[in-house]
Amino acid sequence: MTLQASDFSLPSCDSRIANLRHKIGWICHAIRGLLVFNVVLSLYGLFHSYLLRKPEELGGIAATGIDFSGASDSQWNTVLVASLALWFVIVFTNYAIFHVFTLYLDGRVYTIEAAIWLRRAGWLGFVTVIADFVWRTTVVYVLAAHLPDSVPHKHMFVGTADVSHLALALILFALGHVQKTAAEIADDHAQIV
Amino acid sequence: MTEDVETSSESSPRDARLREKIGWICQAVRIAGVVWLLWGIAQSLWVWTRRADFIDKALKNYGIDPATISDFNYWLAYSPVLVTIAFDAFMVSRLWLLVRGYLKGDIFSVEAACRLRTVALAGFAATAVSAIARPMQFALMSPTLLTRLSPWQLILPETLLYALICGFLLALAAIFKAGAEVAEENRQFV
Repeated sequence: MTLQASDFSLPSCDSRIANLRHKIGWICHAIRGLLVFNVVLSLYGLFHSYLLRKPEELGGIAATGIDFSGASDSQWNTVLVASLALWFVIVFTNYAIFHVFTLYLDGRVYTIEAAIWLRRAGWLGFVTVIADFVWRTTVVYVLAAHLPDSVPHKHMFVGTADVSHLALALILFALGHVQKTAAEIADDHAQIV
Repeated sequence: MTEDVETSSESSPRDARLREKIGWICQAVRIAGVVWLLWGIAQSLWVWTRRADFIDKALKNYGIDPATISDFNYWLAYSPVLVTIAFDAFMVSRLWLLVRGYLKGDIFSVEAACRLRTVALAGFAATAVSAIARPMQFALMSPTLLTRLSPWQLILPETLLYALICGFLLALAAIFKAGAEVAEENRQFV
């Protein structure tokens, strides 16, 4: 059965909301835990590759096949700064998703605020995809700066992961719109009641 | 993609506005999903059929003699990639079905919520298979290589990201389903 948006209203359905919170509570906690783990792991990963001078641990860099072993400390320091800049973008995106699930755990599931934060997470995901591409390109250029121009593959590619990340960001953005409309309808209904 | 999606015959202005807002996003998601799948297949064929180049790039950083990799081991290591592609294709087909429903106006329904849940579960399955397939490829090609890689070269950060997003979609599916059920009850009551 297909419902119209105008049918979608949420009257006093506390027991159902409680049931829903019980159902998705563990998912919310698991996702919040994963987000924190993701932020810490990415910070650890970038410092690990920096301290051990392992460019192959930086996402997708190994695929270029360039030997970066002669890169100087100043080149690596520039990479660290670029990596930290990307990390902050990742932190913002993770925070937006974290906040969405905090709202869900608070019971503010069908609210415009939650929908706006969901849409924001989608936008930030989109920004992260672009920032990641810029970062990768920067890392390759900086670490290969001392090499002659004749070195092959001295550039970065758009990979399949970029396309999937883009699709995921767009899905979140679309679902943010859907949830916002649902929240507006629920809000209208609550005012009428 | 054989499952049929019911098209809504009546449409409120709010529905129409929403469909207008998400229409281009849905089309973009459909295109991105198909491009991602085809690109992945093409890339795996391109990389794996250029054996000398692949082995040179993949193994020279880890001090493994390419001569120790037999033809049999090399192509055996490709088999997990095929399994991964099959799961990816299934996930993309479910995503296509979800988006097709949205484009037809089937957004606030229990069926649409169930389709979203299927996308999330198919995504979980594809992520799990991909996470297992990666170390398996290295192990089948050269067990020594497996021991020389860092943990995050075996389990990519992407794996964590995909699991996270699938969990996100699963939670949203539960939320949309509960909302649609309440709306359906109200409609019957009215």
